[in-house]
Amino acid sequence: MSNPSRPVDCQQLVELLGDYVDNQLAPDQRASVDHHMNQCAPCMAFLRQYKFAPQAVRDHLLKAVPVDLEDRLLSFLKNRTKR
Amino acid sequence: MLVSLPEPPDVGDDVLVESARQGDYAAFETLVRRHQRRVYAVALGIVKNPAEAEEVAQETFLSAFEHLDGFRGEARFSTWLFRVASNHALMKLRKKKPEPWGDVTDLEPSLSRAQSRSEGTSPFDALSQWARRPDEAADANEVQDALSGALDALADDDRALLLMRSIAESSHEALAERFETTVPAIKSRLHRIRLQLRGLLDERLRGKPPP
Repeated sequence: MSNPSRPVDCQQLVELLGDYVDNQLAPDQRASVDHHMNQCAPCMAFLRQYKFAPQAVRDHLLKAVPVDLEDRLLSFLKNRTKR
Repeated sequence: MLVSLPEPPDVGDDVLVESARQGDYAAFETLVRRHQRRVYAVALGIVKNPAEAEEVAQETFLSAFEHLDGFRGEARFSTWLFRVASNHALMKLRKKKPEPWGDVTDLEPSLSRAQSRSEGTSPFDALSQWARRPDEAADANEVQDALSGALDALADDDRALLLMRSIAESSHEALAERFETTVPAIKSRLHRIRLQLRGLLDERLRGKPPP
């Protein structure tokens, strides 16, 4: 594991979250973020919510897919493409 | 009723596209089966109406079939497919007056499948779970309702971008091209949208009035 570079504060951490969850931070910067979160429960919670929100949206919408959508789509396409 | 056949394992989209282009209709149907759930989910997230989302899915796959010959293989088929889906969905949205997401009668059959496993969860339980372990609060009715409202509160293009990333799994490069901007700008915009979504969820779960 890399050593942390300069310590980050809560505001700086928020600014880095996008690259953090996309694994785009340099190793030492990532280590700084990890170090801060290990000592800051609110930032740890904020990260969990930040990561959770888009995943929850994805799951929410995928749950709403009708079970018979595939059959209806294939029938529609077969009819429209004259197969 | 059509029988769903098991999908051929380890056959890439590029192979299926090439087979479909040469007249193998079963290959095209495999592409439909593979991507139809996510195409519908992206469409639903944008147009906010199940019937219209299904129309978008129909239009998207019909476009895919009609344009197979012209498909430029340098892009991933799925990237191209979801770009078409989001375009169709945004065009449909812009042709009509915006409707609130909370039109429950349209969504009720779908939402009934997403009923909370913990229907007795109190708002305080859901909130405390959201604050500490949001993943464990996901099935609570309060969180599902908050998700619907938060998604609706995003601007149409921002919502489309979020869904292209989170459901379609489009790369930053593909999204930058789709939205006619740079990769750093797309990353910055996605970060802003994620922060906004987190904030909207937090406000709804804490009972504060939405902006």
